[in-house]
Amino acid sequence: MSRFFRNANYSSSSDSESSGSSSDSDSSVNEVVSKPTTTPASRFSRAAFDSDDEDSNVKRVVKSPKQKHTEEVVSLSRTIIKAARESRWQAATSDFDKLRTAATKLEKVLKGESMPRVFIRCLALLEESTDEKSKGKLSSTDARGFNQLKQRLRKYKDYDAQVAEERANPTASDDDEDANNEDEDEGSQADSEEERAAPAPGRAAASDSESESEEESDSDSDWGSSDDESSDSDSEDDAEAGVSRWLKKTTTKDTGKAKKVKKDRSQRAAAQPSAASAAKEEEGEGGDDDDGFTTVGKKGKAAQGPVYSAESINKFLKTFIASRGRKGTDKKAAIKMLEKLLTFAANPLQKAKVLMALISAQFDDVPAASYMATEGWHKAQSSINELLSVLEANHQLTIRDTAEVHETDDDIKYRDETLAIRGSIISFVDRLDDEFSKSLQNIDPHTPEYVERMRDTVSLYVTIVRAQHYFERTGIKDSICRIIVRRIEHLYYRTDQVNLHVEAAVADLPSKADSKIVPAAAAGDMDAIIHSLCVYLYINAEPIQRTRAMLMHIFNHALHKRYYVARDLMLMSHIQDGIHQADIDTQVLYNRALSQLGLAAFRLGKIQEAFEHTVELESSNRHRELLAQGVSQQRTQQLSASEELNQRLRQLPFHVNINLELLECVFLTSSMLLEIPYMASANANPEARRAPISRVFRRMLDFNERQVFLGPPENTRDHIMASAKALAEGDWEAARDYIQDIKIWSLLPDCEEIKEMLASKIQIEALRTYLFTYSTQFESIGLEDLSVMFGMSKGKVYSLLTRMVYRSELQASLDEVSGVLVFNMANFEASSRMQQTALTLSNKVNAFADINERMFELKINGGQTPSDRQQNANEHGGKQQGGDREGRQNQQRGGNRDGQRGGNNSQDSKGNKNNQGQGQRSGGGNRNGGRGRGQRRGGNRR
Amino acid sequence: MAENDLTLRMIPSLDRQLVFPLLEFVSMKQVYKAEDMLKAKFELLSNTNMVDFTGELYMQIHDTDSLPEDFAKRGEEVIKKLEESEQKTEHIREVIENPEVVGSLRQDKLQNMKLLRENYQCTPEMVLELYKYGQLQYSCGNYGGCADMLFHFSILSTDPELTLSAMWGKLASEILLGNWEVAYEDMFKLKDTIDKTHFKTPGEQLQQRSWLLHWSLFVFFNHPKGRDGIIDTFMLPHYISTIQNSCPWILRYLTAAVVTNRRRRAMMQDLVKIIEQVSHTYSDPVTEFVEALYADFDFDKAASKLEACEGVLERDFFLTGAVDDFVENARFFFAEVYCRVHKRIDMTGLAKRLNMKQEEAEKWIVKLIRDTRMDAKIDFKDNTVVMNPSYNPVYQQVIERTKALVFRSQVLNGAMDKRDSSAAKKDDKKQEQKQRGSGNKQPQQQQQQQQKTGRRQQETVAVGGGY
Repeated sequence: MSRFFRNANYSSSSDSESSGSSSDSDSSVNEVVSKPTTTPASRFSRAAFDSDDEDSNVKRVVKSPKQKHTEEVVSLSRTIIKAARESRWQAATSDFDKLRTAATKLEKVLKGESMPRVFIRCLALLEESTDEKSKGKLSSTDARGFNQLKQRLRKYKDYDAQVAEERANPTASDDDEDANNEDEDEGSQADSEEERAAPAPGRAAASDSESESEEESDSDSDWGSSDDESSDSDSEDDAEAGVSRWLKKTTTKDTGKAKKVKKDRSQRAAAQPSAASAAKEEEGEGGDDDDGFTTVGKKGKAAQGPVYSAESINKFLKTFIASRGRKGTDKKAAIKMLEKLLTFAANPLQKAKVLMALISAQFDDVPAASYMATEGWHKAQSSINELLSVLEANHQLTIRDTAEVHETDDDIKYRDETLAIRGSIISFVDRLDDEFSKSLQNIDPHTPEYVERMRDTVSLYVTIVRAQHYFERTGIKDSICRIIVRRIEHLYYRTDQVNLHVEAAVADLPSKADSKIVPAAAAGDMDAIIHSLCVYLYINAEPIQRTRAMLMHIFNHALHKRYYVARDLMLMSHIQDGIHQADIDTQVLYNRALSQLGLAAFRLGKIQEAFEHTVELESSNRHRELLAQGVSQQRTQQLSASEELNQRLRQLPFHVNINLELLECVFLTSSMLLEIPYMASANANPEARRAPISRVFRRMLDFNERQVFLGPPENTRDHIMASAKALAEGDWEAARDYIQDIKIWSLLPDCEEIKEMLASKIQIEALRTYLFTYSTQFESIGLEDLSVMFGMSKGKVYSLLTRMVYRSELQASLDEVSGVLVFNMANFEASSRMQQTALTLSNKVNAFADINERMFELKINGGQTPSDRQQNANEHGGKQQGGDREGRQNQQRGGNRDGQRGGNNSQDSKGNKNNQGQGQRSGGGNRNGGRGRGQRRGGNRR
Repeated sequence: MAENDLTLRMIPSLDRQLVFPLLEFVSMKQVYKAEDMLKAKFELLSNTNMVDFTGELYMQIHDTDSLPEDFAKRGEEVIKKLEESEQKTEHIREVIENPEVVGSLRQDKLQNMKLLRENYQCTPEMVLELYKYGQLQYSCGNYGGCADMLFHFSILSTDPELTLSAMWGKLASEILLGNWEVAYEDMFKLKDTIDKTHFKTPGEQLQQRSWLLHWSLFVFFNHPKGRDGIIDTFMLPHYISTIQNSCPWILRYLTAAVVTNRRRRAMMQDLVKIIEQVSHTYSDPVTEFVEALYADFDFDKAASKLEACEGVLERDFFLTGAVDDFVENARFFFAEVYCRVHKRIDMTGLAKRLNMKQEEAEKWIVKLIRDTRMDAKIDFKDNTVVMNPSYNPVYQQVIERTKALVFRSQVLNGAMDKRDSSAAKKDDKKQEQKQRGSGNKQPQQQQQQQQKTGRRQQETVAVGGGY
């Protein structure tokens, strides 16, 4: 075996390696080993190894015991690694036994020196593969071997530390299959080199040091000498450096001995069992080398490269379709080929067909776990656009997924007949859109890259609209609905201003005349456009699409401060009844719509409503997750890998997100405005000490009050807490200032107005709080003074007091003549202790009677009183309100138990008052139930 | 003038011929131009078969004495059609009007049809002919005949859709005839049918309900019991949501009904909530008055709205008869709220707000105090009313809370006894039933069911009374 040839041999294997590696990196990372690429490689290396072994056996000379043992261990390790890779566990097990004895011998000889790296890696690999590998596909003998190996491995603890280090160490065993493969190859080459070098007297020292270098990993010392003669002496840990150097060398050799190389290649290719895959590789190589198709091709498909023509397009398409999706297919090459084919397409039909194949190929070329590169995405988009243009220019041609498969070879004779091709444009556009959002999910939103990427929304939107026009023209109803959902998805979260810019890009599409869904009159009016799109879906779409459209419509209305419209739509559609059965994306959308509704209510100054819309979301500490805007940190239960992946895929791109801090701020501010007067009124009347309106807010306030030292407020929460405390003391000006200092209001479009609104709300609530707190200290209080104190007009104070008196919140009445509020002395505080006790007693007796009655009912009706049943119905309605599914079970349980008493309690009905109308409107008393439940739940825990 | 007029909004939900009285009324009140009104009436009737009347209108509009030819032609056609239908239905009408037949008719429609076919040779086609004849008569303005035909039809027909539309036709005829008693009953029948029928889409049901809301206005505001009926019907959750969703202007009538019906004061709370809900889509002086009084407690605004109300109500077809009643009661509500929150009231101010003269107001207040047994006195020296706010002393509270306990325990005790005895009775009855066999099972079951529901009602009453 001449050195020449050997070199060639390397290069061939290296070639197969490199091509393997290139295709390998394309295929999914998830796949552990992609077989077609590695099998030939390992077979080659093994062949080389074996033959070299024989060689060495013939010419074996005496070696030092250390060397001998080392070699034995190393070779055994390699065999095992290979066997393990190929899942030949039977062989691996027997080798492993040998290895163990060899290793113990070696250890004695080594006297404390570290074991060969390969050995450690072998152990690591085995451990790893026994850990993960499922034995599903193994033959029975191999399975037995696998189990044996697993047990033996478990007992074999001598090198645990090193193995662990090895597994943890990313550079050495990166699990990058290519690197390993190459290592191995080189290893085997090096081995054979050593053994061949050994007999030569001049080389003895060198080879010795080489073998030592394997153990002690300092091979750099004599690189220079060994480098020239043979490409050996490659230390395991220097693998990568070695590879690169070695590669470089082969290329130079390649050029020198081109003929040889080619001959060898052809031999190798002939030896390959599947000629097709060889051709592919060959092509891949060609592609990598940038020589195009013609230069490389001697055999396989590439050889026919020059014959590309309009006539043969069909043939190529067929082969492409046949090979598509198979492992080992080089996707990049396929794209290249199709692009080339496209230029030969003679008529629209061919063009359309090639384009469809090309688009599929382009989408195939995406790693599963990652996202499509921007460049590839652009190419795919332009292909889709081209396809749409072809269809727009040739109305007789349609693509639908219900069409017959068009299986003729005479596309070339196509002369503008009406024809339907089988295919699905909607899936292309869907995919394009998905890839786009996937890329946005993956790009860091704070980089210019993200902004750059965002620019593509417009062109993507145009593509979507074009596709919509196409579907409308051809009347593919199912696709129209899907594409419209996509379109709305691109519109709903943005304000009209932004949307108008996007819409302007669509305005002069040539295909516009095809569309009837959006009337021409609506141009320039985003509300009308979205409305007409949504209405189309309400009429035509599947329930789930309708729900989504509805939610997005609600979101958009809410975003534009059309709170009533949004709310009515939400309630009339009864979405909340079935939302927990919907898929998670829709639930997320529901949560988003709900929180946007809360924001809208807040912007209109509807504090109570804003609170109710946001409370459920904010009370759970999983609101990030519920809005698909990140994962909550503290998680009690562990998610499996796939769940976590799903969750990651579900995340919304950053620009779609609702600002969580703003949401929290709105929630807390609303809570404050409701809770502080409520707390004050409860203080005045111990009987009324009830469950808090907002538990979250109470907790924060308590925490804040317990602080030893309080600095000036820094973040939003601090501001609100400080404001709440000022409000509780009646210092409305301070409260107002704190609230208005919050920076985040500037995110709301009409921030000045909102600050004004908040100021007036704070005035009102401060007045109420003041009256509740100090009512017992006053006999009467002047309206004039109050109006001065709280900076409100007298009329306003008057109507406020009237309301409080009328609703019996205050035990007082107005004196019109002298302009004062007179407090009645008959309130609870004034009564004697004896009287209070009597009252409490009467309450207890009543409760006792209640219990008796319930006991009786339990006996008679199996635990259900008529009022109970009603309660349950209510509960059921209310239960479905939130998107939060997990907490619900508990909530319901809690609510149910306490419901019997709560239902008849007048206090409760007060809580419901504001909502009852809404509840009725929505039919089942949904919102009503939701609120009532919240209160009752609280009562229960107390 | 026209801004608070609801005619235009209501027309889509009314029948052609029901609209006519509305138009008459509106033209009488001169809300719109007389010319337009005439044209509208003509348009309205030109699709009916009331040829003569339409012709008159035509002459009025065009100021001529001669009619185009097709009027005469159409008139002849209509008469011909009428005669045809009359002949076709002659047989079945005779059969139906036969007292013997009427006596033998039962609840089960299929059975009835079978009976008619076997004994009197009546086919379903003939029944259908009844419907057509009724429709034709209605279209000609012969409401009495129409009501008869459709009544017979709805008894005999097995087609639920046609029955429903026959019921609508009957209601319209009765309304136009002014048979309020019958119309009142028909309307409730129709309401039950709508509530029970399972419509294909919720939208359809909504439409039916909103029609019913509009049509029933005729009945409610003309029937003596209507004032109660309108509150009971419209306040049902289904109808509230119908009002909110499709026809918020109906709230005006509901509000008026609640205000004029002092005995149903408790409804005010619910009404205020509904008005607040809808205020962003619909408001008129009537609802605004209530909102100002009960939601905003803005007495000045309420007073000014009350004034505006008078004008609106006078020009409303349905409410024009109730103006005085409304104003009187609205004042009462106003005063009630006012007195409840005040300790001392300046009479001059109150009189001004109520839009009354001083003396008149004084009289009125005295009457109010007497009527409602308020604890209030007029202080003549200061010209004020002094209220003695009634608050509950603790003793009273304790008494009230424990008052029900005796009754509750009695009920509980009674229920226990009854349970023992009824359990025993039930066993007896079961055995009895088994012995009797399955011959006439149905009526018995019904009876039993009635008993059961009766018992349950009793229980609920008992439990409810406890609280």
